Amino acid sequence: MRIGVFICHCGLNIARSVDVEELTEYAKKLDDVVFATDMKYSCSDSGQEEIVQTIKEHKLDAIVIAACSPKLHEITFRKVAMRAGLNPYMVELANIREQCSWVHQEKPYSATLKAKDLLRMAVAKARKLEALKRRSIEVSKAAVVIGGGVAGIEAALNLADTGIKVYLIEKAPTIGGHMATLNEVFPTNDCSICILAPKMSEVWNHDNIEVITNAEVVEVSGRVGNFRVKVLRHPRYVDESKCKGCIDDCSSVCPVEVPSEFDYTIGIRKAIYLPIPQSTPLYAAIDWEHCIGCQLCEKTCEPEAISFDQKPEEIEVEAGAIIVATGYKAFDARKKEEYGYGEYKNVITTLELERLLSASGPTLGELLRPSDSTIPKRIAFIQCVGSRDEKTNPYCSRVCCMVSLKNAFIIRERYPDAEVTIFYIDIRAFGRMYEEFYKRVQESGVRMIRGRVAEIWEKEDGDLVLTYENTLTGEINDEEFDLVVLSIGIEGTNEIATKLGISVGSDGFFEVAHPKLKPAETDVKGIFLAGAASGPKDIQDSVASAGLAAMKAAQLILSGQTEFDPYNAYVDVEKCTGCAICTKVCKFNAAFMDGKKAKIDANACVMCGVCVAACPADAIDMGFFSEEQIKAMIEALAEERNADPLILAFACWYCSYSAADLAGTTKVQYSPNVRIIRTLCTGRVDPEWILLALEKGVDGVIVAGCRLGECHFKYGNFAAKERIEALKKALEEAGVNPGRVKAIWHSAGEAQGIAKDFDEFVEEIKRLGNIEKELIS
Amino acid sequence: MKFFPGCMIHNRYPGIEASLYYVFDKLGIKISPLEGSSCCPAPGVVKSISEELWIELASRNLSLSDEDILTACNGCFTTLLEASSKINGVDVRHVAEFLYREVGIEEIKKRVVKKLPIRVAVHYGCHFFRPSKSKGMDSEKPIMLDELVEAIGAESVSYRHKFVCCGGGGGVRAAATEVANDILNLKMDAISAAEVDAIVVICPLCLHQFDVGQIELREQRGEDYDVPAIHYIQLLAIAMGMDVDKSGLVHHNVVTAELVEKLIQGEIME
Amino acid sequence: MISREDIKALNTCIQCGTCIGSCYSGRFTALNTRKILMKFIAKGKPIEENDAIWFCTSCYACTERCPRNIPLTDILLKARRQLVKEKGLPGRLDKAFKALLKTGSLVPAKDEHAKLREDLGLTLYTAQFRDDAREEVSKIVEKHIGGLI
Repeated sequence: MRIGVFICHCGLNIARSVDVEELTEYAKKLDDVVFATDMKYSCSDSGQEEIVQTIKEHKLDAIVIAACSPKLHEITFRKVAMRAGLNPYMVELANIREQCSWVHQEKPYSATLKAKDLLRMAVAKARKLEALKRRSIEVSKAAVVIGGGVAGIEAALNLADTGIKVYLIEKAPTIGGHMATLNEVFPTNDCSICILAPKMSEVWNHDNIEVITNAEVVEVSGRVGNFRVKVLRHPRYVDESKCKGCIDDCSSVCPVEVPSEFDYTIGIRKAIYLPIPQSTPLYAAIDWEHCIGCQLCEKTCEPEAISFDQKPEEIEVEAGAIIVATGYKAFDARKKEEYGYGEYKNVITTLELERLLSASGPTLGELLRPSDSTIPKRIAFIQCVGSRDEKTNPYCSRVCCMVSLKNAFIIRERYPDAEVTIFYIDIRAFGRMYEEFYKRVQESGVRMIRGRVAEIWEKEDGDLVLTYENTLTGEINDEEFDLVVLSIGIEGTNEIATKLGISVGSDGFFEVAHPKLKPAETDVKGIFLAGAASGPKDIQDSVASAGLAAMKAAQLILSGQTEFDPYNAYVDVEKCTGCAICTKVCKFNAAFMDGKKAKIDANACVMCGVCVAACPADAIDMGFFSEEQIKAMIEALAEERNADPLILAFACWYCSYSAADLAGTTKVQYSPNVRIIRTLCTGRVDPEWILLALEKGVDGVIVAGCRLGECHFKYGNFAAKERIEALKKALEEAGVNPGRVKAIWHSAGEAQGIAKDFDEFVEEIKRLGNIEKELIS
Repeated sequence: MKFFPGCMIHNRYPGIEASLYYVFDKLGIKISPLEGSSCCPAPGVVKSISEELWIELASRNLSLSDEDILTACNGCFTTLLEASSKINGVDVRHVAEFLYREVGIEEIKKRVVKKLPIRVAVHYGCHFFRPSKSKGMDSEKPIMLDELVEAIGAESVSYRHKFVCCGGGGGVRAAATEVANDILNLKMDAISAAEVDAIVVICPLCLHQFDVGQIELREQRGEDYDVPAIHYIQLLAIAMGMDVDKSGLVHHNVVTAELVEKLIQGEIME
Repeated sequence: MISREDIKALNTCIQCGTCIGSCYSGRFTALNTRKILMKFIAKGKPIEENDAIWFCTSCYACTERCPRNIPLTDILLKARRQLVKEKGLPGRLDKAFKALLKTGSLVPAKDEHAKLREDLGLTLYTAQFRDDAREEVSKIVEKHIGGLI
């Protein structure tokens, strides 16, 4: 086999800590390597062209690129191979940037040694590569958009306008999301519902959009091109074909009053209600939890729309792509006990203030404080409640500064006598026209005090005493206010993550495929993110992000076909003993018995590799992550001892491998003793590999998967966990310290966490010493 | 269990100790004094000077017992708990959280023979619940003591600065009495406004600060608050039948006849 | 002493003032932990001799509320130790530590206290009243801070 090696400097990104010239010389000495060179930027046009020419000129059978993470450019280099007439799967990458140069910046000597190992392992795998045929399937010409806030609305409209059928699923009885409840929006201060309502109605009336409200996603199966989404539609107990949306008749007789969630509990609604006056669709809904079943509404409703017989309904839709636009949830201010929210009546949150200022809110736009319905004169805003706070959420929620500035401005405009103070740590006004708006707010006479309020005390008359340090003067003050608005942060809504198999960052928001270049994509092909689902965003950014997500989904759907990697598992009939274990471990019904032999349906196979690792006869294998290839990598690693102790980690592609990459991107440093082999799932990790590694002199092995319960393949990491526990017992019996094998579970966002685990494991293995002694005994 | 008295209980407020033995005897929980123990030593003061001294004295005290150690002082609790986690020593409990978590409010209610219908301002003392992590507390406003107080028929009144330091900790009472009294002054203004019969504490250092500090405030600043401070265990002992005389309350510096009357009378349970 | 980890933590201070707003000692004294630490961060040098540092009651309110999780109180206690190392025991604590050395108690019992215990039916059993225990404790105190007293 003729292998070519290309080693990338990535400018100085790699070359600063890895000696690229030395690595190139090293590569030239490896068996089967007939060509090796270093390149400034291998991904640049000229770099790609150079690789194409080299493949042709040197008649290469396989190439190894030592560069950045395969997450970034594996596809690029596969296309390069294709341009040179080489099968795209004859390409292997050595990740010497995210998992080497960037994480060992202060240790160039060790980093270069590690790069050699990674390269040698990649070459070993390249020797065993086989040409694979790309598989393709037809994409169903429909999309599911989960979440009917402004991002979901924008994404749905964009898709529908291209002729794609869209199912828009919303859990509330109306679409519109948070934006529909806001008063005016910055920096232009236009009325929120006035700009959103036309879009809501456009969605509802669009021929290509089916709006499913009062509904939740219960299950997602299938994959890119053919997702099957099971939706549970809760009964509204109102016949949509009869309801006229008049609401007064039915709700005026309803005796039940509950705090309205659409007023963020500062207003009251009935058990039969319209969430907001502009509800879309404009049908009443009965809140079953609070309805007492008196049926008074039924008697007054002239069109006889009330229908208590409605049952929950399960709907299944098929879609080529899914857009997740599940938005955010507001920080629960009760968690900051020092501010007394929930206890002190006149301490309210931003969202409650929005409703108090809104013309369609519970006070019809009059700013009345809750305790005595008087107009407050002294109003304080406290910034960063549930943001920039290690006790709650360490991140900045991005929107709260502008929201408070905007609301302070509106209050000064409507009530010129009001004294408005904003307590802030830093004002972040980074958008277009935002800083200018900030200046206008300052000019309007809003008082800005730099200091985070320490605590609030409620007086008997409901007034509030705020204790704070004015950090610019160093004075400590107790100051009285009539109303306090907590500028609450926003948090991710990630409950649906496991159903979709997409990962969640340590901040609770969904993880994107690349923080800069793939902000709409997830690690799962065909699932895209719109709006605040992928991190705090204001309306402008949400709409922009929704447009991108729609474009990405349309691109996929309109091309009609999608290709995917042929990594599926397959059975060697000769070796199969017919034990049927594979059919038991496969949770996706892909493995089945065909007579006395097992068979795997390539279209149903999700490529987790659990069956491959489980097969006692080694009769099952899979593409690009074959038994032979991975064993070759392990053996190659052990050929040289370039670290002491020497640690091997198997990391799953969807979570832990991404976390390790993120450690690189964010320059989180960890011990250079760790070398990573990627698998698609930890369920693919065969205990035999671990034994092989230990036998060959690797001192410790880590198996790094998704967090338990969050596996991309739902159950793969549980299979891994079970196997590792069994293996540890066996090791102990064999006289090998079971502490040499460790399983860790991280989401893709946990860069710090995985680096810490790596470091700790290296320390643990250092204490245990080299494995050699244990092997001899 | 071994009772660790610390300097303040053994040498200044022994009524706390007498009350504690009374209560534990009634509850049927065996407890005996930790003989030969020294100063815990006080976390703020001694740690400010030498950490090595702090850990060695604490380790010595811990090593005197092979049973769990019970304290009735927030300072001793902090020192012994922290030191014990460092050297893997015996379990260290504070009587208030022990009563709350192990005995339980319902059981305490059953043991009360005389309800004490007084209005009180509870003061937890910082080192009982902070740092919250090492004390296993999940709230910046605990309710444990309020519930304990209400279990014996008293009313816990909300007042401003309830969770503020008494002013005596960290060596401030010893090293800067003026500052300690400034903070006490602020605290007493708030307590006074709440019109209570007594301040209920669970730490003898806080007790000392309220008890002696009020005398100083009267002598030096003419501030006459006259609100007695009492350790919860003294109140509980009285509610469980101990003579008010034997609780040691009358030996405190600030005592009011009204409080003593109310405690003697109480509401006898059938 | 103030460690690298402590300095790392101090460097993350965003000067929000929550610590000071929560500090009741700081209302009456010149104690401004934020400023002490800000100077420390800016100048990178240890806390200067400053009476205010002895006014912290170690109530931990600042630590509890710090949005950056900086262990302020513990660092302040360490800073005190550093000061003691350089300048010796502050005079205001002299009496207490003398008592500790002599009796094993920061607040030793006098006759009147011993009598009160007797009246309440309690024995005298701490190190102050046991020769062997008291000597043991004295030795420990002497070993660590004998030179300071």
